[in-house]
Formats: sequence, C-alpha cells, structure tokens
Amino acid sequence: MDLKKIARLSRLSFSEEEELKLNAQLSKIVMAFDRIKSVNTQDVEPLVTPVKIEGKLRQDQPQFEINTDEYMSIAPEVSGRLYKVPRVIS
Amino acid sequence: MEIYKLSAVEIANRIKKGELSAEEVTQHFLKRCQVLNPKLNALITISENAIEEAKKIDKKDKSSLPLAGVPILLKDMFCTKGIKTTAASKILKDFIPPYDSTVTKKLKEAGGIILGKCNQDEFAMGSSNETSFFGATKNPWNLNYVPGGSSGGSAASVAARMAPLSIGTDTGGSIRQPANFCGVFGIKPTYGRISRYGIVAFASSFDQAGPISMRVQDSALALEILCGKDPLDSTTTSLTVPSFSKNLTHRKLRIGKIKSFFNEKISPEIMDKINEAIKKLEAQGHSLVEIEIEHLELAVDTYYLLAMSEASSNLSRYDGVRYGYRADFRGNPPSNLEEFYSRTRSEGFGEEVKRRIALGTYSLSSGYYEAYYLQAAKVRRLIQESFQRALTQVDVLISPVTTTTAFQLGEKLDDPLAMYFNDVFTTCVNLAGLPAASLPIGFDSKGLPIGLQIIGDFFQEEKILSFAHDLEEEFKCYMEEPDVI
Repeated sequence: MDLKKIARLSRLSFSEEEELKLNAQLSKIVMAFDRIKSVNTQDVEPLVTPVKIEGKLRQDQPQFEINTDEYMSIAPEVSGRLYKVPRVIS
Repeated sequence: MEIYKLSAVEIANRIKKGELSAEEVTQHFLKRCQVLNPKLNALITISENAIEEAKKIDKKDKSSLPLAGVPILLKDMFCTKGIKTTAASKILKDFIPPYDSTVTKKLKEAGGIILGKCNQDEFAMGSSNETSFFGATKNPWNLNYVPGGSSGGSAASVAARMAPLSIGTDTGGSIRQPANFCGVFGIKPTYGRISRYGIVAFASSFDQAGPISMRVQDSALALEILCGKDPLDSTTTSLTVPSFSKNLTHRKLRIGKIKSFFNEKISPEIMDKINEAIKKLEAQGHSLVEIEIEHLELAVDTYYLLAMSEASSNLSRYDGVRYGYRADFRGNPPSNLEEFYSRTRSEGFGEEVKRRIALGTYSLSSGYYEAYYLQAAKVRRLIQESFQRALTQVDVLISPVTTTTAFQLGEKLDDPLAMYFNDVFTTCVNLAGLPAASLPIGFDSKGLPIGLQIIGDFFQEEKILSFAHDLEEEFKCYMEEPDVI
C-alpha cells in the first residue's frame, strides 16, 4: 500500500515510526478483507443504503434561524464575521 | 425503596403522581454519578443544568410528559446545546454545539432530564471503549475488564444505576455488544427509525441511535418517543410508530437459530446459558428452528470496508477552521493549506480513527474502488437478501452477541484485526439494516454478564420487545447489582 499517497488523499501526516507500524497493520487487515473478492457478484446491484429512502422533500421555507454570532463563536479564530486561518501562501 | 432501583417508567409515574419530585430524583442520580464516575470513567461530562431543568419539570403540568423527570445519560455522539459534545475525540474536546440533535430535543420535550454525556470509543470506532481520548471506561462487574463499545459508557452507567436510561448509537454492534458485556438491555431499531440529525456522523448508512436500560419496558418507552419521521433527516421513515411500551404482551413466535453462529468458537458457558434460554422459550410456547443464512462469514470484512469508507468521507469535515481543534501554528506556520489541514487532523485524531480513515481512503481510491468498496456494497446486498429470505420463515432470529464474555482491558488493544472480529455476530445486522437487541440472560463463572442477540424483520421492533420482555421475566437479571455500586 502506498501510504504516502493515502496520507496525502486523507489530509493526514505520519511520522516514520507511525508509518512503519501502520503499514504492517493495514497490510494485514487488507489481506484479511481480500476474502470478499471470492464472492461472485456478477449482476448484483450494490447496496448503498439499507432501507428505501422516501425522498419526500419538505417545503423550502426557513425552519429556524441560525444565529451567525453563535455559530462563529465556536471557531478556533475569527476576525469579525470571517474565519481566520494562519497565512498559507507566501 | 431506593430511587436507583426504580425503572424509568416507575420514576415517571411516581413523579406524575407527586410521590417523588423531579428535583429529588435528579439529585439522587447526580450524586451517584459523582461518586461512581471516578471508579468507572463512564461519563465525560456531568451537566451543570440538570437540577435547574428538573425544577422546571416540577413546575409544569406533567400529564402529557412520558419521561417526566427521568434522568437520562446521552452518549457523547448526540449534540446537546450548551453542553460539551466530544465524540470522545481530541478534535472535538472543547466543542459546545449551538444546537440539539433531534434525539436530544425529543427527550427534553418528553420531560427527560439530560444528566450528562457518556464516554465511548473515539467517534464510536471501537469495541472496548479504549480508544476514547478521555481514557477507557471500566466494566462495573469487574474493573479490570472492558465495558464493550462503542457505547461502553452508556452500558456501564446504566449497569451501575447512574441513570435508568441512556441513549447510544449502533453502527456495527455498538449498542448490543456493550449491553451484552455489562448485563443491560439495548436495542438498535431498524435503520431509518430514529433521526440521525445532530448525531456526530461515523458511517451514515449504518449509524442508528437506540436506548440502553435495565428494563425492557424502559427501552420500549424511549423508542416510541424517539422513532418517527424527521424533516431534518431524509433517511427517516414515515411509517407509524407503534406504542411499543404498551404492546409488550406475550405472543407466540417462530424463532430461528442462526446455524453458523452456534459454533465451536462460542464459550461453553455462553452456549449453556443460551440453551437454557431456548428451553424456557419452548416452554412458553414459541417454536424453534435452525436456519442457514448465507455469506455471514464475510460480514465483518464487508462491514469494515464500507464503514471505513463512509467514515473517511464523513470525517473530512474536521478541518480546524470552523469548529473543533486546531494545531498550534504559532512560531511554526504551515507552508501550505494541505499542511494546515494535515497537522490539525493528525494531532486531533487518535490512532484507531486515523487507521480507519486511511483504510477507507484506500478502499475508495482510484484503482481499488471496484475491488473493495464496490464489491463490499454488492456483498452487502447478498447479505441483506439472505436475511430477507430467512425472515420469511421465522419472526425473529437469535444468536450469541459475542463469542466470549467481556475481555480484559488492554487484551486486544494492539491487535486491531482481533478487535474487529469481536463484532462477528453484530455487524451483519447493520449491513442489512435490521432491528436487533441484546438481552441479559445470566453470568459466567467469573461473574461477567452473558447476553442473547434477538434480530427482527424490518420495522418489527414490537416482536423483539415482546420476546425480550417475556424472557426478561424468566431470568430477572435486572435484580443483580454489581459490587461497585
């Protein structure tokens, strides 16, 4: 498994030591899960949700008001009504 | 009569009649939480508003409040406005939601008092409660043993009578397995019965909330309050919600023993107890048959591939921008946006969560998607169809919940695969979307609880509950109390 690629795709970073441990664990797990490849699933539709979704949409009317200040107050850092992050471009 | 020995139904009735006040009941359970939590670590937060909320209930007309003054502990997956909701993760350790989950809202509207938030595995990813950022919960029956997971804090706190009722979530067995390890009743209803709005998302096509209680009737009451269509969750069903707590009458059922689940891996003590239960069921007039369900040997593999894939997608929201933990970049700024995200996420998520995100990302990545995610989704359909065929022949299915009783703290922590295969009898139910419960039926020679898994057909929770209610009275496990309390 190309763990560097997986780390990049999942926005995670691992130390060399973590990478070594994780690689061994993940290879073992993937090898065990390889069993599912043995099932003949030709013409089987994948099941993505177990119960039929009714698909009824509610009226497009506001149900409640979100208080912007309240929602902004839980952010790590804000500047007025903007989310603030460290400088990421030089 | 000590208040903690009362069921939720009895507490609500006595409060309604004026024999007890909500404040007095809340005080009683709060004190128990304060005394017992240092021993069990079953709670992450004890609410500071519980007494105030109880006083409000005491002043209200309680006639239409089914849970009037009943103290409830919520797994820390349910958003509670103004009360910390952490999912037992560092990344949400200080998160105070600005809104209530639908489950929280419905419990409050029914007169319930939110006493606190239960410990669990981080993001509900685990079967032992040991992946919690706040440390493992201990099993009240033996403090060296795990309570199970992921709703381990919920099951342990109910077993220790810190509240008569807790609400957990079950993605691959997270209500049934800890209920089984702690000697309490827990039921996961059919997928779509209870709204997932405001529940921290793990694997959205599996996640389902459900009650954990000492008594079957209490869970039945909680279910009838919590089930129902929610415009805020499009996967909820508009089917009528039966009066579960009033329909617990005995009915003769056709019961199927899942043949492949009664194998040599089951501990003999569990097998003996289940055989004793079967004899009692036959004496009650139920009929029993053995039943074969295909592809169940692949349930764990299929479940983990799909659940990890969904988790890797769901957990991408934790970016350190809008809420939750952010790495400390002072004096060490990120060189680009990617690094800003990855440092925050790598510091904020625990080992098991990162393992699952990595595996899920792998299973969804180009070149592997067809072999893993898509193949697993197809096997999922085959498993669901096998269950559907079986459930045309019987009303409910029974099996052990796990192969052994609770294991020791630390025993499986370094072997993720062994931990995953602990869920060998529970994950198949979530793949199919069916309702299922774990009912305590006794104890092994070490004094650790043994449970029985009862699986029903889609939206047939009533049959599971009436069956469990019948058997509960045969074994009366609710009379037993762990020494720690």
